Amino acid sequence: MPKNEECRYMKSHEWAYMDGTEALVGISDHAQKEITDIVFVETPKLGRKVSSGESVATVESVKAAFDIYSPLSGEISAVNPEISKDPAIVNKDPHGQGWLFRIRPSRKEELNSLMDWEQYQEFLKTQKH
Amino acid sequence: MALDEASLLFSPENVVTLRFYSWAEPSATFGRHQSFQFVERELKKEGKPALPCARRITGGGLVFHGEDLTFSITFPWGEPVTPNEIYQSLHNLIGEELRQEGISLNLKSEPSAITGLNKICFSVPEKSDITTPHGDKILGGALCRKNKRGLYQGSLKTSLISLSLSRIKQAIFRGVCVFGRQKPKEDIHFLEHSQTALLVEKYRSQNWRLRVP
Repeated sequence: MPKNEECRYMKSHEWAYMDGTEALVGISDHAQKEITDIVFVETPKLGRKVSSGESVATVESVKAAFDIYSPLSGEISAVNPEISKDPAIVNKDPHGQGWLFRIRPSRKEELNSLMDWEQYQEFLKTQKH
Repeated sequence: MALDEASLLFSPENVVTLRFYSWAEPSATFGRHQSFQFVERELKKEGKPALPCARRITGGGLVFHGEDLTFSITFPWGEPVTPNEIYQSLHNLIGEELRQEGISLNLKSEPSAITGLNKICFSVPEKSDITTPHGDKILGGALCRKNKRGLYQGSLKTSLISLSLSRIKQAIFRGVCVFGRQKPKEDIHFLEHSQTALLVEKYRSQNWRLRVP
């Protein structure tokens, strides 16, 4: 599973990590803390064609539903089967067992427009109260 | 439901909106990720299998409407604030305004023992719900965040409060003013017909109502 430093990040706190020809996607530790106790994850359908920035999944914590956006354009090639059984793994291990889906990117260059770890850390500082 | 989502999606970024609405007939709404099978089962248990019902975009549980005051708030949700903090803050502020009107109430401090999605909103108070001193739930709500805006949909049992409807609405309005640090817009006519028409279709569709997440 990818280390924080190996991922690229969206301002909406999704991460992407190129794993061969596919990208693994999840939400950051910051996001899972903000969302708090996740009780349900609705993942995208396999084979769905998505655009970067498109809402593709939702997570629900107690009483609140949150949209999850795709960091890259492409086709959904896998979803994490474990999160339907235990959604709380997204809280416990957002960069590991709590990954959300895989995407086969159609425009790999979009990865370059995402923030690297250092940029993401700087971005988070600007988000503080 | 469609107007609530339209307010969430299409209101200007920094605007707070507040909308009160009522029901033409007894109805129910249920949470975005609740299974329709669960809802059908509960409606049957209540002896209301044909009750009109709609899926909300917000989370939370099944709510029976008709004798409640329902309202929605949309607001900027850009800062790192948890849903629990928003829920607690909003209910604290509305609760305080109702107290100023002489109503005795509490804010539930502990989470309920019921976990998961299949809940009935008014059966058990959740953390930060407003209750009577005896523990009966007065106000509950649910949230959704899209991009950098949030939607709160609330249901208040007016029968548990000895206050006129207009005074209750004024108390909610004042609470929302403090919450949003601005006077909320109650007139959402800035939404264009084209923006709401598609959403109306969505909420009417079986695809949205029956969807199995």
